[in-house]
Order: sequence, then structure tokens, then C-alpha cells
Amino acid sequence: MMSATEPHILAGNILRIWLGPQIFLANHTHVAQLLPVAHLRDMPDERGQPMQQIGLADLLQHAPVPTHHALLIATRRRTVALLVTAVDLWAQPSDVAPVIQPLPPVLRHALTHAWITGILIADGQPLQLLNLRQIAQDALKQAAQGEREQRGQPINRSDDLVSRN
Amino acid sequence: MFDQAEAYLLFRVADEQYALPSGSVHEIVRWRAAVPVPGTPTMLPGILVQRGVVYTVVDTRLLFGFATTAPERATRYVLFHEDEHRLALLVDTVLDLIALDLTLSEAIPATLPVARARLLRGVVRHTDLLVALIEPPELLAALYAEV
Repeated sequence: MMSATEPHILAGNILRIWLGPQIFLANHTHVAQLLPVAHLRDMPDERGQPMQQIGLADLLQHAPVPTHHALLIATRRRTVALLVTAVDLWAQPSDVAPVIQPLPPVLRHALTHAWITGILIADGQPLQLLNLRQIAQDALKQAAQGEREQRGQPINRSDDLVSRN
Repeated sequence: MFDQAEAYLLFRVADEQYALPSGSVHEIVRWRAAVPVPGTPTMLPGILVQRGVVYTVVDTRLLFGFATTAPERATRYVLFHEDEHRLALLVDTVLDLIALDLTLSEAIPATLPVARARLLRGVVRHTDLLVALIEPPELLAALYAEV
């Protein structure tokens, strides 16, 4: 089981995700499908509705970036497309274990969402490991809440975006 | 009671001089761009790696109640270790490593804003400078209260 406070080895393939020039990492198993953004046009989700498309940079309050690829993340409710600049499989050196460092305690305290689960140091640079499943779930809740507010319906506080560490 | 003379790192934030116990200071490095962490307050502008250790950058200007400024040639990170915390304190410049005679320390001036007074164990005169002595646990407590 992964620990939030102890270094651990990340098993399986790791995706490298670009938001503009900044690189993030994610577990490949969180992604159901990877598509060019242009292929999303008219693609329905499980409910036959247009696929929910959300810019990952917007969610992360990152500076605006161009988006060319979509990561399809399946949640319990529906599939969501997270739009990113680029993505590839990280070809890590075979003799180096991908050790994920826990987030520093003050960052765990400061972060509103549990969207970043650790840090991997590559070539002296810190790469942040994203929890794409949690991000997609929270994004859908946020979108649903926005729709309810638009319709003037009361907000169910249990659906609030609360995913603190 | 304080020891009579302890080694302190003397640095400047805005137009004030501060001193940290040298035992909490691991290294001083030149400013370089930190890697931003999404969803964190501006007081924590990012993380950086030094010798394989991940440091959380703290903008001390904001923590101490000043306006932040763009980094300049003299801007430094003071790599600070306290318990399990590894912080890179962004300071305007590092002045010196000095021995301070703490028997000469004075009470914290009542006019000092709370944002800074809460970090300190006192003030002491060094040459013609009034130096504010930072208490590392109080620095951490103030940081956690702000973020």
C-alpha cells in the first residue's frame, strides 16, 4: 500500500505529462485511453452525452497552456477527458527504481486537494506525481455542483470538493 | 537562559536584519527558479532539489508581513532543517555568520508587527545593527498558521 509519508517505489508504467513546459508524472493505470484532442469531437460518454472535457491546467490553477492530448479517466459516474499539452510513457533507466518521495509536510498541510501524491527526483529536478483519478472525480463533482447552482438547486455539502490529505 | 555566545546566520529581509541559529542552517544557495506546486499559497512558491533533498520554498517577505519582490543578484535560499522539515527560506541577502552575545538581547519592541514579533525570541545589537533573533519552532508555527 502506498504511503503518503514514506518513500515508496512506484510500480508499473509512468506517464509523463506536459502542461506547457512543466512536466508532471502519473500512474499509467489511471488512464483508460489517450487521444489527440481533435478525436474527442462528438465523442459521447457512457450516458450518451458529450464527453466532459476539462483543462488540467485550469484545475491545477496553472498558467494557461496549449492542449493537444486528452487523458480519458474513468470514474464511478462517468468518463472525463483531462486536456494536456503532451504526454508520453516515461522511459526510466532500467536500473533505477522510481522512488516516490512523500510531499513535504508543510505542502501536505497547505494543499486543498489530495491531487499530488509525491515527488520523484529525475536529473536533479522534482517531478510531481498526480493522482489523476482523484482529480477527475473532484472535477466532475465541481462541474455537477456548478450545474446545480445554475439551476438554483440546493448544494449537497457531501458533494463538496473536500479531498484534503 | 541563552548561552552567552551562539553562532547565527545573519540575513536581510526588506530593510530588517534577522538571525537564525547556525545549527538550523544546512546550506546557502543562490536563487534559482523553484518548481511550482499547484494549489499552494503564494507564500510557498514551489519546491527545489538540492543534493537529492526536496525543499519547500518559503517566501520570507510574505511570511514576515512584507510585500514580495522579484529576485535579484543577492537573493539567496537559506536551506533550513528543523525536525522533519526541509525549507528553502527565500531571503533578500545573506550578510554573515556571526557570534551573538545573547546576554545583550533585548525584549521584542512593542511596535513590531505581530507577523514578525511571533517569530522572534528577542532582538540584539550587533555592531550598529539591531538584529531580530528567529526562534526556529516559532518560525514553523507561524508558517503553518499562514498556509
